[in-house]
Amino acid sequence: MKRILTLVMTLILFGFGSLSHAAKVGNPAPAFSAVDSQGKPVKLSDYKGKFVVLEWHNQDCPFVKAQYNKGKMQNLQSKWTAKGVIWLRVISSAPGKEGYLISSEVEESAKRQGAKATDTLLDPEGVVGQAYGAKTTPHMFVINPKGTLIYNGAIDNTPREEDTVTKNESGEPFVNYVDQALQESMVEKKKVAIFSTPPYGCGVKYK
Amino acid sequence: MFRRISLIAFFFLFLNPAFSQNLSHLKAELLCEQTCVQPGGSVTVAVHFRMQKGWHVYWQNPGDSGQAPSITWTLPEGFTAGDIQWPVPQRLVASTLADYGYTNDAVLLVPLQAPANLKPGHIVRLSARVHWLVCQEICIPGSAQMNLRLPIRKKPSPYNSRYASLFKGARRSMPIPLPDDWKAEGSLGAKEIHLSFDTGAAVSKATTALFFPLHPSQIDNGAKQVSTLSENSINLSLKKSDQLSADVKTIEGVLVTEQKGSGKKGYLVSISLNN
Repeated sequence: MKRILTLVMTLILFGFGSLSHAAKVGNPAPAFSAVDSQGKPVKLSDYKGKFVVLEWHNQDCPFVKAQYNKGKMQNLQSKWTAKGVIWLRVISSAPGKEGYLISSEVEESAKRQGAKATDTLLDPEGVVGQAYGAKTTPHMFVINPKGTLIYNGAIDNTPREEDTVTKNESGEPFVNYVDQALQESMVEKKKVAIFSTPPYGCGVKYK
Repeated sequence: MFRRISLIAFFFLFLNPAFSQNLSHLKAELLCEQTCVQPGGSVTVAVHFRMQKGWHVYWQNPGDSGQAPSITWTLPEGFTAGDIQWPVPQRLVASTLADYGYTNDAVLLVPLQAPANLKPGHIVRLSARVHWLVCQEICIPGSAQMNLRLPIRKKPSPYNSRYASLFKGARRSMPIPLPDDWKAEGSLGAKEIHLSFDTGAAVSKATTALFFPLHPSQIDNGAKQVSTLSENSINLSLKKSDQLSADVKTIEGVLVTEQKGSGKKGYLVSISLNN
């Protein structure tokens, strides 16, 4: 019994030990538990067996606005949630900082934006954000049905706001990395080719 | 306050061979070091940002968040613009994140090369669309279209004395190559990247060092950089980024050393990483 307990403790410790450095593609995505805008607790494990997208969100960040003002993020949410993807927006802004919203404000904001995400999680203490090493809004993560992190990085390869961007600043064709990762992994059952990119945007307004 | 500055800026437009725009939390100006341009010659232009207190713009690698300023040139045929020269940045920490950029003011330099077939007596129009992101806690994107008109002269272009100190200061703020007698070494640990700089002479005990990576996602920007001094060497231990590529071979960036009283020095470095 004691031996089993030791084993369990060791597993827990190792489990937590790896948490601080676990937002690595190929590793299990860090487990989390947070509350959504209706006060309902949401755990990553609730969605085992499904693709999960995490989108770090701050409604007032110009990079986020560039996505929402033109309907780009909503279209992507709508496209993939229709295929059964769970799309969770996470707000890690601390109280008093830009982008912090209380539950009722989240509902209003999502309605105004026409957001099509599955849910929005409130993370004012930044616990989920720190577990994932979320740096910016929008910083994106994609998790496969096994719970493995398969994408960590930017939403796309250009912060430009125009309706139809075909090329980025370096003249390369426009790529939405999240769309591409889901297409490759979920639809084509392939490995995600571009699985890690530097996220761009506003810094997450941690406490 | 800003209305007054914009009035002054407006007034200056007519007196100054420079172009300036005053926008939210930042004033941007396009200046030329020379008063004219020679066929086949080159001039240096500056984009001068002056930020409202507490606000910053970004270095070429903005760090955890933000965006570097960009310049899109519209130049007469045959003109070419060189790369932006970036002054030594500052580390700007917010909670667990760190950005790299500039507070108060920043001068970016760009060399422009003129074609040989310019006709003396004419005027060339150099036009720049400058984009930036200016942040305090919150961020505001901005852009300005700025133009310079330079007469073409047969003789080498004289310097504009009005901007002599600005350009001198800007050059002093640029990182320089690592001295020839320094030896730089790098290695990859389990969680850290270790850099060591043998300066070839005793290092003052009062030296502090910071490293600014040129490429994103190599180091954990927000993690404390641990610098230690051994007899002739400055050593830095940088936490690896979660996103560091497994086949990373080199790390490029700017090493900044500071000694109390003698100011900061920035060195451009490119270091091979041994396993």
